[in-house]
Amino acid sequence: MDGLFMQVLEGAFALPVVLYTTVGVFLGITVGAIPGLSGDMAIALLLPLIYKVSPAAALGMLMGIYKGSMFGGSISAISFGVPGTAAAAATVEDGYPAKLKGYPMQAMLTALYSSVTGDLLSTLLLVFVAVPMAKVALHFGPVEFFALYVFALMMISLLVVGEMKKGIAAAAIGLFIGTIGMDPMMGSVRLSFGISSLRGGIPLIPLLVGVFAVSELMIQFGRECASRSAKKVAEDAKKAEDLGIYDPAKDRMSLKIYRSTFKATLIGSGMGTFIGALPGAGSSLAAFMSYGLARKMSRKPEEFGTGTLEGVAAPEAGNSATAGASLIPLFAFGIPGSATAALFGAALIMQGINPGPMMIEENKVIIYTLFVIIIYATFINLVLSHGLIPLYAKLAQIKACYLVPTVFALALLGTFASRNSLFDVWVLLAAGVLGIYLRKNDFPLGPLVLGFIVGPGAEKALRQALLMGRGEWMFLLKSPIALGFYGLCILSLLLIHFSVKKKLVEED
Amino acid sequence: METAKSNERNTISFLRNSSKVVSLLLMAAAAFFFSFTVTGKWSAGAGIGARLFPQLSLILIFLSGAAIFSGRGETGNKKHSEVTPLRAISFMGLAVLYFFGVLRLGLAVGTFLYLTAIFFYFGRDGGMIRKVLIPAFGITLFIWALFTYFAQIVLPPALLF
Repeated sequence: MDGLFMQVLEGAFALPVVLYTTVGVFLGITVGAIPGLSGDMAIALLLPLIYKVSPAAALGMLMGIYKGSMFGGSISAISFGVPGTAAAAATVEDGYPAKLKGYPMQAMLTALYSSVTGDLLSTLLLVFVAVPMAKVALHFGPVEFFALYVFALMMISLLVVGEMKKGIAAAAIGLFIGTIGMDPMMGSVRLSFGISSLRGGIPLIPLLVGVFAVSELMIQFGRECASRSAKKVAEDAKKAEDLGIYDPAKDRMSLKIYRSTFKATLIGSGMGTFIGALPGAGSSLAAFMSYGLARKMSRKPEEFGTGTLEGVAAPEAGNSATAGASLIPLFAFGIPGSATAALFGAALIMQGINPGPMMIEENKVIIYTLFVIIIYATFINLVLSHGLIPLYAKLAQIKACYLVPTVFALALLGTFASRNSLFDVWVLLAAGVLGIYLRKNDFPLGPLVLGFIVGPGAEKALRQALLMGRGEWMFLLKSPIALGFYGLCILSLLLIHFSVKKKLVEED
Repeated sequence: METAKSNERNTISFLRNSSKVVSLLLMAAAAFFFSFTVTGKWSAGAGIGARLFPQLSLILIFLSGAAIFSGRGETGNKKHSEVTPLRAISFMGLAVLYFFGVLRLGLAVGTFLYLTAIFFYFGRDGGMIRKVLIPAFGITLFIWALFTYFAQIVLPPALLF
């Protein structure tokens, strides 16, 4: 035990690991602060570049990006009313009015402290819950695992923002794309259409980078160079002029202010952790739900929307609290609960670690090391963000016409360099086209990626279960745990169906 | 005459309903690929074969497409209307040109030419040197250093460095 403890500490605090994590946090804050770039995109772009780095350093860097971007998004949300990331959209509601009222620093520091608090609480939950849950999952067989996969895919499709049917369709497309290539049981080649490069299946990295990054870059490209953020900056400068001289003495953060927002921070942390642990519910949903709940439970709900700091604290704690919690299903069962967790799953596979219930047992040192890194990355985020806030408030002014070609060049070269394969470049571009088509038609991309990643595991579990049951489909319902998962699926489907119906009736 | 006009109006309104069009596409694609899963010479395996899971996922695509089709639907592409087909094709065309530029001319030269072309298109009004050449050179240097120096990734040799 002592040996393991020392190994973990040595691994987590090795100089390269700390440096990579710090660079990751720095990159995360940077991409988060620039509207149009996101943590997911940065993680997807870096995946091809990190395979040469040690697992602890590589995963530390990606974790740093994730944590940094969660807070980074709030910088431009508060400074210009333009959320740097989708997760920071709820922060605009009160963050930007707070800035216009003359309290930008208080708003940003409230966002930072709430973000760090929410993140830390959810990380601790991850550390203490993932290991016991993984032990329970060790008793699962193919029948239970297939039911769990069905439950995860169902939740992913149901909880996405937008139409439920489109979520299910996106997950099914991901599942189908995942079946192209070698069949996981018998090794026969499926749906390759005579293309030899397809025999190994659709490569993961080009698909991820294409769907997430290229489609987003295409949207940015489509917008005029004078983007919304640039216009907002100009509008904001005018408004700031109208406000008169900004008084920094009145805009100081204090312990009293932090205490006054602590209740909202706790509400956000709890809501974010709960939503983050559910497969499919993303950080933006957590932020909006935290904001709504904090307003309901506030003593002064009428002040929400006018620049109250509670309205900044709740969504920031909410979106950051999903960071650790969304990794629980990945670490415990090997099923990524969100698009970001799916990217982490991909990174783990690239580092030779197979996500699943045996993952913690088989890779104790690296997983515990990662837990330590996740905790200290939160503090690195706190220190770095503190220093970078004044400087980064100007980052949103970077023009899209410089940003888009640069990031696209990185995406293209990084994808090609990961396997030196021209085929990967075509997959990247095709995935970009698919991504933009789906986005234009309001299909969520998260379920597609998750379907693609969990598809082979789900297929294996289904076929093993049916083999055990000698082809009898009723065998899938013989386990009480599996029945429980199917029951939860039906229950959530009905709940969401009726809540949508009620909403439509109200709208009519 | 009136009926013909009404039919035409209905067709136009149907085509403008992006959800309906997408759902039809989904169903058609699912049916198309399903035919391959039926005729494909894949190992049957013991109990169930390799074709089961692709078929299940295609059935799910078809059913969700049908559900979207039967739903309310919405007219017009409200989301990301800035991405027109022409812009998407230009973006992809530039990407292909850039990539083959890198393979033929080398990372540094290919990247510099690509960035210069794009910056020239977008930002020439601010001055050729300040808004086009200097940013293109700086970003090329950054990308070159990132790939060849920091990440030490070997890209295939090309005509130029």
